Amino acid sequence: MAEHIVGAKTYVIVWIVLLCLTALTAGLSTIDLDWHYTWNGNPHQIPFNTVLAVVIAATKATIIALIFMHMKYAERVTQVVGIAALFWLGIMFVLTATDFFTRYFGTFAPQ
Amino acid sequence: MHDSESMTETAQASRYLNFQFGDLEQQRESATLGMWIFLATEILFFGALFTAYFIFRAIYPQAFAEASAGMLFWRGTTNTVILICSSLTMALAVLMAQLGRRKLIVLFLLLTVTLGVGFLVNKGFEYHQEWVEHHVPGPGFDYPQSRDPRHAEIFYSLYFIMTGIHTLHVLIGVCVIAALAYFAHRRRYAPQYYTPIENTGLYWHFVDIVWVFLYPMLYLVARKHF
Repeated sequence: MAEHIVGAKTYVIVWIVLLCLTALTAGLSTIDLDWHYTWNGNPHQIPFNTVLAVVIAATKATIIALIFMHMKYAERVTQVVGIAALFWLGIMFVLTATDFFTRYFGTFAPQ
Repeated sequence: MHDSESMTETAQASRYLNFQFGDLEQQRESATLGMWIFLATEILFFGALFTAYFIFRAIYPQAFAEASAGMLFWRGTTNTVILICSSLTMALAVLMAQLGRRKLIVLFLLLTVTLGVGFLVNKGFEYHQEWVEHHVPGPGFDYPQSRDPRHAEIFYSLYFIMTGIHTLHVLIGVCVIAALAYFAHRRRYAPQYYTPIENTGLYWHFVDIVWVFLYPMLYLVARKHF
């Protein structure tokens, strides 16, 4: 596969999008979006502020990887390495979380 | 039979081609693949710290929110913008390397170095203020803004480890990019061979991605309450 040259215009557009997403995530952090509800008489909350912040960060990371890091135009084997890294990261998060959320929190209730 | 033009091309290719590769394209693709394998280990390295952050924040959400309220929002936001701008200049340096525009390669690499140094200086002022305010974990740690300073200290431990290792990556990147600018000035790279610039670009963008996640995790946790 021949190398793919991305034009300067594309890079500048990506740069503007990244700056806009930074402004968006900074702005959203000042608004309380968390959802509080009661279930079985106990107060619960879904931290939408955090969820949105992570979604925006993941979007920015994806744009950087695809365009700035040329993942969109890379060899298939290189793309597989990138996806494998995310898969391993997922294993680390999910398996660690299952342990804490099913055993630790069952023994010592968080605040 | 070669005409003189393709003779020149063959001679140029052999100058940049290592013996174990069939052609320059295979050499370039191998280098990119190797760099991504290195970055995969880096993703897991930082990923372990993010896992620790995730677990501790789930256990002590209140203490983490109170601790994050003491972060210097504008220092962090400025550094986010600086790193995004430096990613653009690095991407443009790689583009100029592909096009063989030597002076512009040097220009964009030096711009990237300048922005990287700006990040480090800003981070230095931030660390200094946190030191003065006793927010550095250890015997001198003091955080009266939280009712749970012991667990606020966990937040600050994670903050200093994560940003400390990230800043070390920025420092290494700045040194490598400065060296690339020198070598580019000395005509070491050509459109057929610019692998060091391409791979350093991958490293630099990766460091940017880490900061993209650190920024909301450290600076934006508690702003809605204040």
